[in-house]
Order: sequence, then C-alpha cells, then structure tokens
Amino acid sequence: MAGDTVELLQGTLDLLVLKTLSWGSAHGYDIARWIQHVTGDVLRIEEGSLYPALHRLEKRGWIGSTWGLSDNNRRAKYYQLTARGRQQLRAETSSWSAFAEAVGKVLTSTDQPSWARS
Amino acid sequence: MTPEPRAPSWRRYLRFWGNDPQRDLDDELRFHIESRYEEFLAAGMDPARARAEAEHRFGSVSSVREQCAAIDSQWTRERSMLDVVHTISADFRYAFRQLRRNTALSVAAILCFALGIGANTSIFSVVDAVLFRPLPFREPDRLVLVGEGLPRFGTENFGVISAPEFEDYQRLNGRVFSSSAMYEGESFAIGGTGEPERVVGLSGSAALFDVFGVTMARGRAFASTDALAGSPNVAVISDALWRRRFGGEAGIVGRLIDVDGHPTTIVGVARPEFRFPLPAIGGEPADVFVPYKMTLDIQRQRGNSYRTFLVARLAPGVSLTAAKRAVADLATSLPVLHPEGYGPDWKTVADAFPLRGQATKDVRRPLIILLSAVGMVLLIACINVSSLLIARAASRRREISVRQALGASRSRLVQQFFAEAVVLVSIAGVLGVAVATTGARVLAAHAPRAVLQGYDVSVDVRVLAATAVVVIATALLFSLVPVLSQARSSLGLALHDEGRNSTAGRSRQRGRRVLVVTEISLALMLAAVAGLMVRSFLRARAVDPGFDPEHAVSVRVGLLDARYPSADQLISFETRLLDQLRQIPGVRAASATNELPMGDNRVRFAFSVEGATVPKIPIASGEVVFPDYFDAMRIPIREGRALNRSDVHGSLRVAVVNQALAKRFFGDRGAIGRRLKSGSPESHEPWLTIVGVAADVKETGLDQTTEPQIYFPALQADTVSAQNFVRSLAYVVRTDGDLGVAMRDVARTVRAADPALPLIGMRPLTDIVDVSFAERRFNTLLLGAFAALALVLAAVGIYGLMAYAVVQRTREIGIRLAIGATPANVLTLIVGQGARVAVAGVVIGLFGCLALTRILGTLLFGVSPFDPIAFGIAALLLLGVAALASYLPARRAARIDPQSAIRAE
Repeated sequence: MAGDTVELLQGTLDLLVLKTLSWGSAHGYDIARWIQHVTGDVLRIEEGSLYPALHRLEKRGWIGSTWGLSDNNRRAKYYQLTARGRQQLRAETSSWSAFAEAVGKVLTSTDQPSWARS
Repeated sequence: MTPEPRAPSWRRYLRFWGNDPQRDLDDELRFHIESRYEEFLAAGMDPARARAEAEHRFGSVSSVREQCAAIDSQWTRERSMLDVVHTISADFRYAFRQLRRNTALSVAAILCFALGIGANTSIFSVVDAVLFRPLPFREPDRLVLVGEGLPRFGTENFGVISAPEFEDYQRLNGRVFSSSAMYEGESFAIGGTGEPERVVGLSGSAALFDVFGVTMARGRAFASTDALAGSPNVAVISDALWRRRFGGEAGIVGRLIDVDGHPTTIVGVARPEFRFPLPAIGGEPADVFVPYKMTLDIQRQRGNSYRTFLVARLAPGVSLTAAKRAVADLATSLPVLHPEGYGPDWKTVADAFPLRGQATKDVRRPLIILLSAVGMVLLIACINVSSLLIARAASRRREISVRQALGASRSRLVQQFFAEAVVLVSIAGVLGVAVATTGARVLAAHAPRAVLQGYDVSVDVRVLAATAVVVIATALLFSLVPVLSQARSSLGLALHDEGRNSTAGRSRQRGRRVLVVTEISLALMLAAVAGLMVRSFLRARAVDPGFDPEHAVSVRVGLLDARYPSADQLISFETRLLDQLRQIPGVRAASATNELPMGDNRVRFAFSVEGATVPKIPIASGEVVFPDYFDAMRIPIREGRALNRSDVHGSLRVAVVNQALAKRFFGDRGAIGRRLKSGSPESHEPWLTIVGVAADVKETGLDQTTEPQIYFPALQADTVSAQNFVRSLAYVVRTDGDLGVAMRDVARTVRAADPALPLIGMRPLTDIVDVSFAERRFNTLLLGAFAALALVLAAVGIYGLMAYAVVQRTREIGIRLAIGATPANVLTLIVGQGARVAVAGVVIGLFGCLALTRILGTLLFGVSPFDPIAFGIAALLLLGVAALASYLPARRAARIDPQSAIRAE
C-alpha cells in the first residue's frame, strides 16, 4: 500500500478541498473519501491533516460551514464554498495548470540543453 | 444545502456554532473516524481491526485537534474585535442620525461646547506657555536665580545681587552650581546701518549661554576673554533682530555695528527659541547681548547697588534646599570678607529660587484664576448640554425601554449615549480649536507685556492634547447623566404609561433642576467675581494719579555715551534741548526726568533722615528731574518751592519730597529745611535740604500704594550718578495745542538737535497711565467676558428647563385653565417655579462667593472681597435673566387652549 502513493505538495491540499467543494457542500469525511476516490488512492493524505486545512480555509472566508445531519443521522459539519472561495479556486486552478504545464514541458522535453549536446 | 456565500454571514454561523467550539471540534473529528469505522465494518472487517485502521488512517487526533483549536481561537479573537468595531461604527451612525434629527438642539449644544472649549483652549495656551511648558533651555528645572536682601531695609528679597558679589558666588561653582552667570537688563541704541534704534539689551558674564545650555544658531557665544578691559567689543544678537534689521543675512557674523556709539562686532546669532530675559527677571527678551564689563566704579558699589541677576545651574545631585542653604551661608560671609563694601553691622541674606517660579510669581495667580473661571464656563456648558440631553432622553424614554426589553444592557445603552456625546463634543471640539487658534493669537497680541513677553503662545500639540482630554472627560460626564437619570425609570412603567400622567417625570425634572441650580450658582460666582473686578477697575481708574496726564506728550531720548562722554556735555545738551522744546509754539512747559511715574525702571533706594531714628532704614523712590518738572507734569507743590534753575552745582544741595514722606517723618508741617540723604545714616552721601513738598504721585501704578519719594535736581546731581541716570531721559512737553502736532514738533526739534539720537515711545502722557492699567484691564475684560458667557448659558439652561416643564405639564395646565385658573395664575405658577430654581441657585452661589472671592487677593482694588454691591448686582442680574428665561415659556403656558390640551396625547 505504501509503495505506490505520493506525498502531497505543500499547499495543494487547499486547492483539492476547494475543488471538491465546488461540487457542493460536504463534510470532512466526504471530502477525504472523494479525493481518494478520484485520485484512485494515489494521493494518500493522512486524513486528520484535512481538518486544519478546512479550519484555515474557513478562517480565510473561502469556505463556510453549517451543522447538519449526515446520511447515517449523525450531527456533521458541512462545508461549502463561498463566493470568495470560488474566486480563489479559479485563480489557483489556472496558476496550478500553468505550473503543471511548465513542469510537464520540462519533463517531456526532447530538446537537449546546449551543454549536453556536445 | 445551498451555500450562502456572502462573507459577513459568519455572524450567523456563530450562533449555530454555539458557545462551545471545543466540543464542536471534537464532534467533527469523531464523526470522521466513526464514519470510516462504519465503512470498514460494512466492508466486513472485524470491529477491533476496523477501529485500529480508522484511527491509523486519521493520524494523531490530538495533534489535529490542537492545530484546529489554534486556528479557531485566533479567528474568534479577530472576529470579536471586528464585532466591536462593527458595533461602534453602528453606534456612531446612529448617533449622527439622532443629532441630525434634533438639529436645533444639536446646534445649541455644539455652540455651547465650541465656545466653552474654545475659550478654555485659548486661555490654556497662554497658561501653558507661561506656567507649564518647559522653557527652551537645557534642563530648565535645574536653573535657579539667586537674590539677596538686607534685613535692615525690610525683609523682602530684592531678587538680585550686587555685581561685585558675583565673584564671591562663583566660589560655589563645582560644589553647588555646575555653572553660574550674572546679567543685567540694558537698553542699547544701535546704529551703523539703517535708522538708529533703541533695542532691549542684556549684558552678561561669559558663561551666560553655557548656563542655559544653549548653542548659537550662527557664530559663537561669549568667550571669557571678551569681557577683559581693552578687548574688542563683541555682541550676540537675537534671531528676531537678525531677521528684522539684517534681513536674515548669511554673512552676519563678523559684521560691525554701532552699540551705544561703540563699534561692535557681531560674533553670534542666538537660536530663534532662545528668548531671554523673561518678564520679572530682567525685563523683555533682549535683542543684543554683550559681555558684562566690570569697572572700578561698579567694583566699589557693593552694598548700595542691587541690580544684577545671578542665574545658576544646580550641580548634579544638589537639591534646591541645599543650594538655598549654600547661598545663605555665602551671603552671611560677604560683609565679613568685604567690610569696606557694606555699612557697619550690616547683614546680608540670600536665597535661591527656581527660575520659572521667579519669572512668573506675579502672574501665576491671575492666570490660574482666569483658567479656573474659563473652566467654570465649560462646566456650565456641560451642565447645560446634560440638561438638554436629559430632556431629550425623557422623550426617548420609550425607545430606550423598548431597546432594554429587547435585551440591550445598561452598559450597551451607556455606550450608545457615549457615542452621541463623542460625536457632539468632537464637532464642538473641532470648532472650539478653530476658535482657540484665533483666540490664542488675539490674547497673545493684547495681553500685557508683563505676562507674555518672551513666551511662545500657540495652540500646539500639548494644548491640543489637553483639549482632547477635556473633550473626552466632558463627553463621559454628560453621557452618563442621561443614563443615570434613567436609572429609576422602571421598564414596564415607561412602556405603557408614557406621557399618560400629568406629573410625568417629576423625579427626572428634579435631577434637571439640581443641574440648573448648580449652573446658576456657578454663573453667579463668575458674575460676582467679574463684578468685583469691574468695580476694582473703576475704582483704580478713578484714582488721581497726582499729575495731569492730559495735554502733554512724553518721549524718551537716549543719549550715546560716545557722543557725550562727560556729564557736563550731557547736561548742557539736555538743557539746550529743553530750551528748544520750550520754544515750540503752544508749549507751556517742558522738562525731563530719568523715569516717569509708572515707568519700568523706577529707582528705589535707601535714605536716612537727619535726626530720625528708625528700626529699619526706609526706602524711597527717586527721580532726577530738570527744572520746570512740576509744571510740566502739573504736580502741585503743597509746601515750599519746586526745584528750579538756581539749584545747580555749588549751591545748597536740595531735594523735594512727596507728602507721604513728609507726613511720615515730619508730621503735617515742618518738612521744609530738614535734611536727608541717600543711603544709611553712616553713608558718606551729602545731606540734602528739603525745599519743597510735592503732592503724592502714583509712581508705580494707580492701584498701588504711594511710597516716600524724593526728587533730586538734575543740575546738581553727582557726576557719576548723573551719568548713570541721565543716559536716557524721558521728556515731558505740556502743550495747549493738538497732541499730534506737538508730537511731530517735538520729534523735529530733537532731530534738529542731534539726528543720531533714537526717539523711543513718543506718546501722549495719558498712555503711560493706560499701560500701567493694561494687566488689570486685560484680566477684567476676560473675566467679564466669561461671566457674560456664563450668564447666557445659564439663561439657556433655565429656558430649557422651564420650556420642557411647560410641555410636560400641558395637560395639567389645561385642566387648571378649564376649572377656572386665569392665564395670570398660570403665568405666576410657571415663573414662580423658575424663580424658585433661580433663587436656590443664587443663594448657593452667594455662599460659594464667600468662599471663593478671597483668592482674588491683590487683583481687587478698593473693594472688599465681599463687596455687597458687586454681589447684589450679580444676584439681581441672574434673577432677572432667570425671570426672563422662564417668562417666555410661561407666556406660552398661559396661552394654552384648555380643550386641545386635555385632549392631547
């Protein structure tokens, strides 16, 4: 199990949470499961570390929270994206894409650097 | 669940979240682990493994909880701060709305305060400059002045020493003083470039600027070699003179100017803030500072010339008490060390005084009284506005009750009222400061020289800070009153019987009445004080100065040492000039003296009467006068003759004394032919025969007592003293003609005699009387203005109270009218109510006066501090104002239509 997982880059958890919540409100457990599901369990996060991220995002005003009842009739805290969170998500998504694209270009490049040619 | 993404809505979540965020957090985390555990169970794991796996996947619960809690609590703190800001800004918005809704009331309140704050700030700017602000010297609190006294001549300390004694005092340097310097006030004629002019000067010893710890803006201060005989003349000039006369020229250092006819090099320019001397310790701020040059003549004059100031800086660690002891010890040793300088068996005492205290000893009391008076005006304004606000609070009682019912706490209501008060007072404060900046300028321009000269009066940060404190205290004070007055109104009562009973708000009215009574009593005290001041002023004004100030002009002409080096040359020039002045058409008499009555430089000296034994050597004021002086001044000669042209060198040495002296030593008759001399009985001064007794002249001011006075004939005076006295003479020219023409003629005549002589202070003789009055007039005017302001404010207060009472009692009055009361009855009822309040205030105020007016002390002249006329007028004035202020609402009450009044509400 441990061999085929990757560590999460610093700060990307926030982006994943925001993206997850862009589908609608969810509690922490849902968010964790959804991320694991979508990434096929490749992105292994220590589930507990999700919560400081959630609280931090709430403090920044990017997500809000309400208490509600879960499917199994328990009291659960639901998070949802705020307008500012949505803006933030857009901004981070495009900068992430740019970053990923740039890194991808380097990694897939077939051009050799000049000093390697000779 | 639809997201509600508006940011400020966190306030709502706050409530959902409840008041236990800690438990919520635990719930949230537990929910996660439980859900995972159930999922594993559902997938068929055995319970123990499922739990272990769920916990493993979650990680450290305690660490997560800690992190979250930290984030949350920080957030909560920020939010509660935001919350406060939000509430406050809401309060202020509400306050503005309230104030706008009651425009008339708000404007009245703001004006009351603006005037009160403006007056306070103006007066405080003066008081601060003179009494509180640190003087612009290094560690000014360590500076002391040393003064001596001769117990034989009375107990008073002269405040000065004798110049040769400075050398003795320098022995204290290092032990008691870290440095010390002597100085004397001077007056210099400067020339060289431009018009000759007379400036205030100072001659001081080398260390003068070091003692003050000041540096020069340009050039250097005195060097110890500057004072040596034969060294070139040097001077330091003030920043003011540098700008005024030399246009702020950069190359000023090294310039040669003419000081009293001697070519003198300017070696330095003082900093702009260095203004010295201050009033009472050497005169007005000097423009030209020169090194003090000791002469043999001065060396000899120990015990008979006290005119030198000694300023010293206390050595580190030396207390004022220690310094006092040290100078006292030193003074005791002086007659022992220098027996030739003092009379036999003379004792010398000395004392050290803080510089600031010595400079302000005469003005402190009047300034503090002015400040207290203006503080009282502000207090009255405060009471007034409180009273108005209580009235408004009453009309807002329903609103307040509703808010209380909805859960507003008492402190929340106070906060709301405070916000209103702050808004009100801040607006008034800004207006007040605007009033004050003008006020401070006007005060600085019109205050008598003796008070403000040398101080920088301005509304600066210190003054503004003091104003801010006053403003906030004011706001607190009167925002509390309406709420406290609300304290007794129980909630339910207010809600359902608002306005329904005819005697509504009795207790609240009582509270207001107490305020108005206080206000009236304060106003009465101010009015009585102002009355006493005005009566003192009139009394002093009516005093016969002893000479006739009408139809005469005076001018001071400074003679230059260099041009008239000998006493003979001086006297002959003077005599010639006087003859020329007498030839001006219309001139009845012309004469000259070393100092006119009420002048700043009156000479006082000890004298002895032949054959009289007195426990203490008496002091007289002396004048050296030219022939015709008594005619020119119109001072009546009561006995004997005036001094005339035959009293010259070689003839019998004579003098004229005033009635006060004659009466004290010779009874009603018999002064003529008796002899006196200056100095102690053992002195070697020549005996002078009294040839005439002149009427008493108020030589130090109309409101001062008359001292013994001796007139010496100028043509007979000793050469040395003549030179000292006669250097600058005050001429008096009495004319039949127009004073303006006379002044031009006199100026032309002097210029014709010697164009290089500076003419100083050409003015009608009446001016010298007015100037001696300036301080009294200033204090009287200000106190009068404050009293007038207090009266107006008190009138507004009474009017407000009565007008409100009438509105409150409309129903009651309607009923009274309906059952047969006449409008006259109603009028009497209301005016009577107002009168009761006024009488109570007046009576309390009169008692206050009895305690208060004593502190006026010497500010009063010719009236008792309990002057019944001043008190009576003040009382009548206030009663009259009160009657008028309650008559207007009473008339409205009398015109109430009973039917509509009863139906109303």
